[in-house]
Amino acid sequence: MNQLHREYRNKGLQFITIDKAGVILSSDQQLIDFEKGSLLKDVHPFFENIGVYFEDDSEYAKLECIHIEDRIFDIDFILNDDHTAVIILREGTDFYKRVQVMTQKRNESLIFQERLELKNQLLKEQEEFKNRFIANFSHELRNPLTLISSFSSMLMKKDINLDQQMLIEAIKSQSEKLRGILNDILDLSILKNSSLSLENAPFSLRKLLKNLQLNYTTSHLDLNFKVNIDTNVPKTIIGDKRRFEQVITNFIDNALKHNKGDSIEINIQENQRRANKVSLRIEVTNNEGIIPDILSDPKLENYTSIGHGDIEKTTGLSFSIARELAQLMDGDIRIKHCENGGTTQVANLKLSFPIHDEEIEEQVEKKTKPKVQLSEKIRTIIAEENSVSKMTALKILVSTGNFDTQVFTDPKNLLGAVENDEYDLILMSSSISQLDTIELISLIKEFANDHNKKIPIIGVTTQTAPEDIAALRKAGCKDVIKKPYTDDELTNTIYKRLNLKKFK
Amino acid sequence: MVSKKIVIVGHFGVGKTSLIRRFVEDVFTEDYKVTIGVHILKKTLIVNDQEVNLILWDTEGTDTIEDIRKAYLLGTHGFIFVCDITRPSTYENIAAQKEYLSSNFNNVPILSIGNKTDLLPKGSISDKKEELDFLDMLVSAKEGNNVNRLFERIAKLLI
Repeated sequence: MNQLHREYRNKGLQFITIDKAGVILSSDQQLIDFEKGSLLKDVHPFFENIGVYFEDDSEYAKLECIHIEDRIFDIDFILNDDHTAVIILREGTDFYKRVQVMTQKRNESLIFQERLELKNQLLKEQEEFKNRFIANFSHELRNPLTLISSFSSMLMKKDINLDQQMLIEAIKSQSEKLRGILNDILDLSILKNSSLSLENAPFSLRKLLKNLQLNYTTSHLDLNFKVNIDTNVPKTIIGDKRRFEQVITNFIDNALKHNKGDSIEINIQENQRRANKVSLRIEVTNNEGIIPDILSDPKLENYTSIGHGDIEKTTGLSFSIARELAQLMDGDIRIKHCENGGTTQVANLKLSFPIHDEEIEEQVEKKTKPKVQLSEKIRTIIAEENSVSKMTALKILVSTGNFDTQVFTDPKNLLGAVENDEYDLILMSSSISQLDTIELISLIKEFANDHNKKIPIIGVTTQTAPEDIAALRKAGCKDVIKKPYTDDELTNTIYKRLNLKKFK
Repeated sequence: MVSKKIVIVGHFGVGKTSLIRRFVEDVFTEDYKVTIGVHILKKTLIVNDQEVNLILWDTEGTDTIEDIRKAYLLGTHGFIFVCDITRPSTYENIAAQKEYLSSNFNNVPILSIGNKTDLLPKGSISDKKEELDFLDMLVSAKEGNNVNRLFERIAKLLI
């Protein structure tokens, strides 16, 4: 011990000898003054506990980084054979202060990161809650809307007087408006989640604009609707036709909403092109009426956020959708107020075009189809538990006189029916008795008798996200009808998917 | 007078030092200063008409108790496991940590507490208490809520 003492005498060490009662027997006073004969525990609370090291099996204990007053020591406890002990204090203040600075930085950064992760998680949970709410809200609205849309459409076809016709037209138009808002809310939710992927298919830009012009001039007879497409603009565009059209129709609807004049003009020019990419500038101008420049409003979120948005401020909603879509097409949108009191809405969108730019032929569906009259009835299962949806589908099909319908709300009865009877069609709701449709379709295939093995199944769903529709098709649905639907949408889809010759 | 060694353990940044300083010196500072090694402070309490010297070992924050230097824990009469109720990572493994302490230190009393109730929105403490029902107490070193009660409670368990 004396040798060790001598060796470390000048290396910031202090040797103290104590007895089992903690009385100081000797101290070389190199670092701290210890009074011989006094109790070690009176020096600092750390030593209150020193007795336990006499009791411990080990004859040596090392305690590092002990703070005594404003200094830091490593402390060795060595038990001697004569039941005395040597305590060695080793000064480490400077070293540990440096360690403290490094640890401080590390811990602060770790805590910051942890808090950031928690904040992100919270935001994610809020977003998920919002999406769940929107999905449920949309689901709840779709069934009654289907009934209103299709029943008012059916009533319009009846022999009714002018007054009644006006009332029904008003109901139909408002339900169409509600349907539009509902779709806008869902679109915006999907866009904000960045879960929307754009399709890439060729379409004729000029034909699309011509159709739009035709639609709007038919429904707004007093409107002077002009379309100017620069000759440089490619004839065929490769992109998502539906979403491209949505940007333009959102602009036109905004313009119509705020228009006080009688004209709306669409101008399409080419900004630039490189290889097979083209940037198009689309301008929609209304000659009178100011559209609020919500994009420059610092409270833009008030117009565009579903959480805080006023449903009546649908300019914000549709504009927000247009903005998100433009961003998906690597572009942007702007609002310019014209000197003559009108407003121009501008979208710059990046799209592709084919190397050989030619006008492409697009299949145009005939809008008015002749009434289908069948001599043999289509034996149809309606698998639906929602009473409103059940009644809607039943009324529509029965009113045509072409269907012999049976409604099932219990999956067991449904499976029994496909096993024992013969049918021509199943209209399948998205959930029956909380049984997943996809699971039920696979059970139908398993239970069906030979006649029903290849029975066409048409899904009818409130879950309208592309992945939900794709899942139903993959499960075996020949087609999927999204709620809300009209009577014509339901019957036309059925007729399209059945071999009608069989029933004529 | 009896002396009882109480070791305060838990993750870094949960407020172990603040808790002891609130109890011993009745002060609180917003600044976070990392503890390295161990600080030892003392406070005398009168519990059931008996004077008790609480020797409080404020240890360096660690992810697991196993990381604490063994020699620090020798002769411990009671543990206070502190976590931060706003950071789930500080109480995720609390059951395993308590189990480790119980089996290695002769079943000495352990109180697990959640600090920083001052960061909760007003009126939500009882909900939090229900959510973190595995904790013995919720405290706030900043506002001093429940701090004295905590040390009185552990002192009572030790005498």
